Amino acid sequence: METTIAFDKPIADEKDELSAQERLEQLFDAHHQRLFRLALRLTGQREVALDLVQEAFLRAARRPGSIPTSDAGATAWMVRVLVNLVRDRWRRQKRRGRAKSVPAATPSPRATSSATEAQVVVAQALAALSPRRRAIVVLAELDGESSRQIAALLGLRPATVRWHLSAARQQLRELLAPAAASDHQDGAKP
Amino acid sequence: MKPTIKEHKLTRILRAGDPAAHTGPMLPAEAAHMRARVRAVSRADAPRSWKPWALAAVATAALVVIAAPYGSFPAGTRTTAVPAAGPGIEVPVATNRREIHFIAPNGTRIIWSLRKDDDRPWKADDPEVRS
Repeated sequence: METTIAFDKPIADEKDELSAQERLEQLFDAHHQRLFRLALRLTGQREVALDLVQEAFLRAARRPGSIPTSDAGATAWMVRVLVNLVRDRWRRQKRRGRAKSVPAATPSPRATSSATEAQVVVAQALAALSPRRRAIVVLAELDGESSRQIAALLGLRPATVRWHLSAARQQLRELLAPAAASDHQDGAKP
Repeated sequence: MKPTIKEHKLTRILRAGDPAAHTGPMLPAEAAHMRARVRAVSRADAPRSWKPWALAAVATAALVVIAAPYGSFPAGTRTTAVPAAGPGIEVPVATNRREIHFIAPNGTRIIWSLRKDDDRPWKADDPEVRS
């Protein structure tokens, strides 16, 4: 009879030793675009988004031991680091009294003026939300993640996510209502 | 009455003003620059890998340093087979309890615990003592 013994831990250790750096590079390749999109949606500024994504990966580089070994865990860890960075930045700005002065994302030359207008309105409305609530609403409305997925990504309970999402939608409805009403009027004109 | 927006319209407005949709992805040059920087920091901050023998040497040295203040056992004097008074008997004084340690030649340790408040001689058939 042949007995097979699985040595999970040593293999994992060997993998860790072999490629803490390689793993970080894989993590970068797999997630940098997604994190950049998220950062852009959370801050509305391209340069700031680039800085935040870089800082998130630098944190991962400085503490490779704290990155979970599973892919899903690593993704969630990176998203959480990024959201925390956004929150830290928001707090610093709030202390300086300019948390709400968020300009819209730098539009590409192809972007039309109406798109730029919409960006400004949305960026200002999102900037009025707290970073956590903003992250939840962005992940739900723009990334299309479910409450359960957002809960796993941000390390929250699904009920907490649903509560924040409901409150954020209500807040955004009120903030975006004037813009929506003027759009409607413009559209109604012959 | 405040104007409100319906659920699907809110999603539409948010998507129309999505910063990521109009700004585009991270450019390859930006990504390459960032990757190189992350890689450089990762190399610089990589924890030094400890060789097992070096770890064992450090652990031994630490153990010696910690154990040194507690003294060493005098060789020969402590390893008497007969538990009798003599130089091999160590009697640490406690407030209400005394312990006498004996070490037999085969390494067996015998510890007698004597309580100050109980001077009666022990009897095997004494039910009070046994209980």
